[in-house]
Amino acid sequence: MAAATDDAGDSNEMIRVVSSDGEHFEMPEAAANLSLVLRHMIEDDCADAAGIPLAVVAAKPLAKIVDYCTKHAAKSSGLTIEEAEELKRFDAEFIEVDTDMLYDLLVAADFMGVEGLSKLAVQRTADLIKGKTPEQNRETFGIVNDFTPEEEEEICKENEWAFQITKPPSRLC
Amino acid sequence: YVLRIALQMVNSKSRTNPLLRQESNSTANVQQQHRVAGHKNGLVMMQSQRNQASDGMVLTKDDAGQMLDQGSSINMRHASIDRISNLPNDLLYIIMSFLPALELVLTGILSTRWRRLWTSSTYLNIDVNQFGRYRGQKFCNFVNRMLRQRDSSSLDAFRLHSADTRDAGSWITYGIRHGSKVVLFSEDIEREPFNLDHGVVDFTSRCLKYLVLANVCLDANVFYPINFACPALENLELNDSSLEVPEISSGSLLHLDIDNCCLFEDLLISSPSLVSLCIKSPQHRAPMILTLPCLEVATIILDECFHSTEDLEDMDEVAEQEWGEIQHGIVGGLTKARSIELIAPRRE
Repeated sequence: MAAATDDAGDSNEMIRVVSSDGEHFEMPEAAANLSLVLRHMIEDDCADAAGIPLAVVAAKPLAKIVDYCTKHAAKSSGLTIEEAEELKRFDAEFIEVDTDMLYDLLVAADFMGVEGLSKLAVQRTADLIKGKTPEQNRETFGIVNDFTPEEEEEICKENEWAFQITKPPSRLC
Repeated sequence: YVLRIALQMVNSKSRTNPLLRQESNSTANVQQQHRVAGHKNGLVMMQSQRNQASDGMVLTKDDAGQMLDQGSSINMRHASIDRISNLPNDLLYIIMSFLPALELVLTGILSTRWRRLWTSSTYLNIDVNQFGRYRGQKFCNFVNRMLRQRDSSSLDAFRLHSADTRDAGSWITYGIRHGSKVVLFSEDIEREPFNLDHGVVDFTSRCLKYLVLANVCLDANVFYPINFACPALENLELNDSSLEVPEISSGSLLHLDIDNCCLFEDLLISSPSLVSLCIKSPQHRAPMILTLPCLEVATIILDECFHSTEDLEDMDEVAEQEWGEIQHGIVGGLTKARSIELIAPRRE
């Protein structure tokens, strides 16, 4: 069981969810409520023993999301400064993932409507892009330069103004 | 990041208490304080720039080219399959909203998928400090070309930090004309206040909700539309600026912050919907405040420079008379507030 239940909130009710590849997870209701989609399902009495099926979220990212929600739900109200700091540290460690997992989290958090996690994943993605050359970004994210030589030439001309600030990547121009 | 946070604030229905935005020792709910502290990181970026504190957006490397070559401090295993390009446009736009102007534009040369994406990005974050030694004419050319290459998509938020760049006025107008809900403009604190010329800058906007101006000169002409032609304006922050504005009377304004501004003429604050008002370290004079019926929280902080300005020494007697009036003017208008914090220096 992937759900961290050590420091759950007041609610004893456990919510079951099922990943797209059939794995079952459990989390406290307070944690599930951090997902807009799950909250609506719970409000509509769709949460039963069989578990809420999440058709587009695979087990690996779902395990992470359950962890995230459980941690954040347990620490959601009346935070002391130390607790807030701890939560920040948790977030920073939590999002140290490879680009594949980052992609899964971006899509899943968006689908499930977990606002805090969405922000965290988006910020992490932007941080990965920032301060890098286009070539480095292609490497990091596996983006293939699919421009034809003609297009490359056109882009170089078109972006001459930007390349006055930063030198053009070697594969272009 | 600043822009996103400002927009979140604009979009959030529950207004945050501006009192908490200061380093107050109040016993307020810590959770709320934490949340507000998050906002503060973003929104008070003018101060953080002044303090040379890094807020993540202010890249202070001298050479932009060098900066990009060095890469970010985050190292990770490289992806073998391109998945990021498969994200829906909406998510990519949100990611792009965290990118400063130069990096935003450079996403256009990643691949065909990315080529035109940035031109529809709804957030613009232009910071002269990102341009290192190219902060002069090349910075100007860059921004002008970037704005010309953007498609006609409306903006959500526009942030500009400039240093003695004449075109800044027309760029602000671009941000406003393209429907930005949030506009933040700051002139580098090391420079003279940027003169917002009413012939170039027009604040008229049906969309503008949140306006922050730092280190600028505002006169009555350029301020007129802020009072009368910004029907959605809710938040106004004026920092480190020179004001020749007789009245702030915007009917929609809910939150007003005036921090470290020079008042070159009498200023009357009469916005009838104001919920919170914060005036810190006004110089030359303090504003007069009409009774504000909706006011909940008021913070007025007058510091030493308020009456110890050497220029005013000769006018000591006059100043003393004014002192009495001013106090009356401020406090008289705050009678409806639920919470008032008034801090004034002890008279020698």
